[in-house]
Amino acid sequence: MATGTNGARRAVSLLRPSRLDFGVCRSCQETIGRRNYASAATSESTTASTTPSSSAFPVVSPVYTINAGVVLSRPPQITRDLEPFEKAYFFYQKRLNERLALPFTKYFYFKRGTPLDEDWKKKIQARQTPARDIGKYNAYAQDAWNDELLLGAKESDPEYQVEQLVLDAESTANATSQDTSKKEEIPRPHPRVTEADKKGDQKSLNRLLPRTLYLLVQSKDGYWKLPSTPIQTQETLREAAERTLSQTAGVNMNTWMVGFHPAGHHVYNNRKPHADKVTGAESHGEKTFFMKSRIMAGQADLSASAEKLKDFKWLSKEEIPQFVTQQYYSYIKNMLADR
Amino acid sequence: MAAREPSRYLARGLPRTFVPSARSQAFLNRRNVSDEAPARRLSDQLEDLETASSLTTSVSESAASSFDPIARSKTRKTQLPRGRYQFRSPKYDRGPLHPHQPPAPSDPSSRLFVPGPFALPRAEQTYNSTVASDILTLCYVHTPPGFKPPPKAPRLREWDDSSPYHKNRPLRGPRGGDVLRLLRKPIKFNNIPKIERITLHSYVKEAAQDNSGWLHVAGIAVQAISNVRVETFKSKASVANWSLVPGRDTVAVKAELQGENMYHFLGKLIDVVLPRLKDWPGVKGSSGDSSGNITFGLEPEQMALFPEIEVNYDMYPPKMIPGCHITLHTTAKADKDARLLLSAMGIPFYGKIVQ
Amino acid sequence: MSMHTTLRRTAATLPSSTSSILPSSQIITAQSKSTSFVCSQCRHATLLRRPKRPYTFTQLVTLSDGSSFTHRTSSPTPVYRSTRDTRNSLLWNPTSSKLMNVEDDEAGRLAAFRARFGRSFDANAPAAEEDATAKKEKEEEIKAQQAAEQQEEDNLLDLISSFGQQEAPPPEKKKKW
Repeated sequence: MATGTNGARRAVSLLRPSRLDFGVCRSCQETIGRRNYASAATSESTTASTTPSSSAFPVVSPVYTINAGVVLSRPPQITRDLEPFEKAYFFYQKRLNERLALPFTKYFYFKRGTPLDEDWKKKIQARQTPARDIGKYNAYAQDAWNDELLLGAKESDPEYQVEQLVLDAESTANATSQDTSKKEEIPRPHPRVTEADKKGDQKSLNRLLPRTLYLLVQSKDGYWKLPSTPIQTQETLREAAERTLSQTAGVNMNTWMVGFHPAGHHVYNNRKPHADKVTGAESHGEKTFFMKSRIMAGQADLSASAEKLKDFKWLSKEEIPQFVTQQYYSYIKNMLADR
Repeated sequence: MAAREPSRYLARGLPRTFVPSARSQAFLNRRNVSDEAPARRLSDQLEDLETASSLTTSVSESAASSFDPIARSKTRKTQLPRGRYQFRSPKYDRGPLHPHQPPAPSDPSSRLFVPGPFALPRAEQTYNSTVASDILTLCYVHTPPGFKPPPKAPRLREWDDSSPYHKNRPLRGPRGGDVLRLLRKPIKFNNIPKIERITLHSYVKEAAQDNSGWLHVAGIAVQAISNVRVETFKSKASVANWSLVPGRDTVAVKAELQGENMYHFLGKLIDVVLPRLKDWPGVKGSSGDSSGNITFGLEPEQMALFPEIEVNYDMYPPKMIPGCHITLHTTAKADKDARLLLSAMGIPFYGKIVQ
Repeated sequence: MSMHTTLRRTAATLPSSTSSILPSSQIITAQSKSTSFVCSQCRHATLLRRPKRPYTFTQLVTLSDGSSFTHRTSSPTPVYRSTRDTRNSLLWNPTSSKLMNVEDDEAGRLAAFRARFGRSFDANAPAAEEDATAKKEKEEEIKAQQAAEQQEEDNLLDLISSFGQQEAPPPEKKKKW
């Protein structure tokens, strides 16, 4: 089936006349024209064909409103959750490594007879291996072949391994400290699931830490979109994008605009062309070009937005289709990161 | 090899009736792409696949809790001889024609097997999720459809045939030097610069003057910070003041980090070690070999700031900890791209940025 | 071993005109990777050396802002807590006013001195430098300290944390392992 459609598409593309003349934006067409002038000595025929387009540029018949959009994203803050297969694989490799790496040189790190050394000996007897995160396993014993985890074992879980590390550090600190009255407490890592996740607060930037979040705003008509506004005259795309960001989401954000080129676009065709009341020009729809941007600090604030936006949300890629139309999502999905 | 062989004999030995005849079936069930295409759907093909992975299979609690491989092996009356269940790789590779072949290095039973990776390094995840796509956006150069770049002069110059001796001469190098720089292709999705490997190199000239202890300490220190066994190198230069003789004195150690080790080292270097250096301005902006590899050096007292050396600093003989050069090899073809990548990963640069 | 290397060398230095009878060894060994000699015709057995790798542990690194990650290291310490890292060094946070104003006072000696003898000696200079927000922070801190003298420790923590939320959004909690 796939080959059939591809073949048909290819045939259609062959039958169709070259789209170069009307499918290219104005600046690009001018660039082509200029380039060809520069290399006019080599090919005279091409110069002749492009001369009219560059000298007297006609108004292209379908007129679109050009918008500058911003894909404002918060990059992932923490490492991703491992798949069960990855956990099992890493754990198995660690146990293989027990057997294949050089043995740990204990006396290079612990001097004989010190409290640390005594503590180390005690722990080695208990867990039979220097490593703390592979459970009780002796790679040099008779039953070293039994290196696979049984069902429901927690040893391959990263949370469990980190807990073991912290427990080990605590017990060492308690065993070697002078005063036995005070118990050493080593702070655990912060939880990977934040309060915003538990509450389902989609406005918080602290949600879904291992994922990239994107800012979506709700227009006054009630539909969700990435922030965008029409480009004004004498304004580059990047300037327009920066203006869009400050106008829609407020200035209380530290952002970084990535590069000067758009990362994606969205085309919206009106059912019937709208006529502008002032100039009388017909508008066939909207074309939005999205610039990529990263948020470093701050939070969106819609109170000062010029477009009277209703609401905003920070959403991951999987959540976006619930809010935007299917057609809109098909345009923007390829510029959103997988993670 | 021998285990796979019988299948052929099996097929030959079976009676004719059991052997499926490929030809008649193909004729009867002849299918055309045109009449099959609309009826075929993805869901039909997926029916053959198992829905659950083996990792999520539910096993009854009693079966799981009662399973004890050690106890089971002990109940056996006679233990299997070791050779029956454990394959030992031959110690020598005796050439491709020898009947006794060692297994591939990726086989855990091979003598060359290196286990790993053991984790998904943080720096690698940052690169994949954030840095790579940003570099792609930053380095995009717009060429409109139909654009033809102006022809470039050839990289190697031809000889003008002013002299008869120019016949059949190899082409000349570029003007102003013989160095032929790497070609920098436009950065697309498939050649985003990434870190290829990291080399730690430490030249200990005292190893030639004094004793080999310097070299041992240098090797252990570099191994401790990099998790990689070092290689040693003999001197190539002859320096009378240092009493160096080429080919006689072993004076340098090098560790090459790749893959997981490299990313762990990079994360540790950027997040823990570099911020602790006193009055360190960053990596010099002019550093680099103009083909995308950036080098900077660490002094001996800066080497001692690595957590691995700090933890047992007393065990290293005083003042024998070496300095080292750290070379970050990237797949970028120009220093500009390499610096973009490294500064995105968190390495600061200072001074005049030389491209 | 020595004989083995010399053989390899002689094999490499042989003139290339001798036609090779055997195809060159297909199996890439660690040995042939590490040496630069090209073995065009090896008829001896090659020792398959086990690669030597030092023992590595998993270590939990906790940065100064509480974010943490694990990495593989040769040091046997289970938890490494850093005091100075990318989260609180000026080179990585060039715009952070908090880091700009702070003196190199890791041990807290300067702070202890000020708490005891006041800071009249440098009253003029920092007042000119400090912007309004920093001043506000200082006042808040002093207030918090005064309040803390009367109240419990928990209340002090509450004050500080609530102060941070009023002033600016809290720094994004990062935790990586």
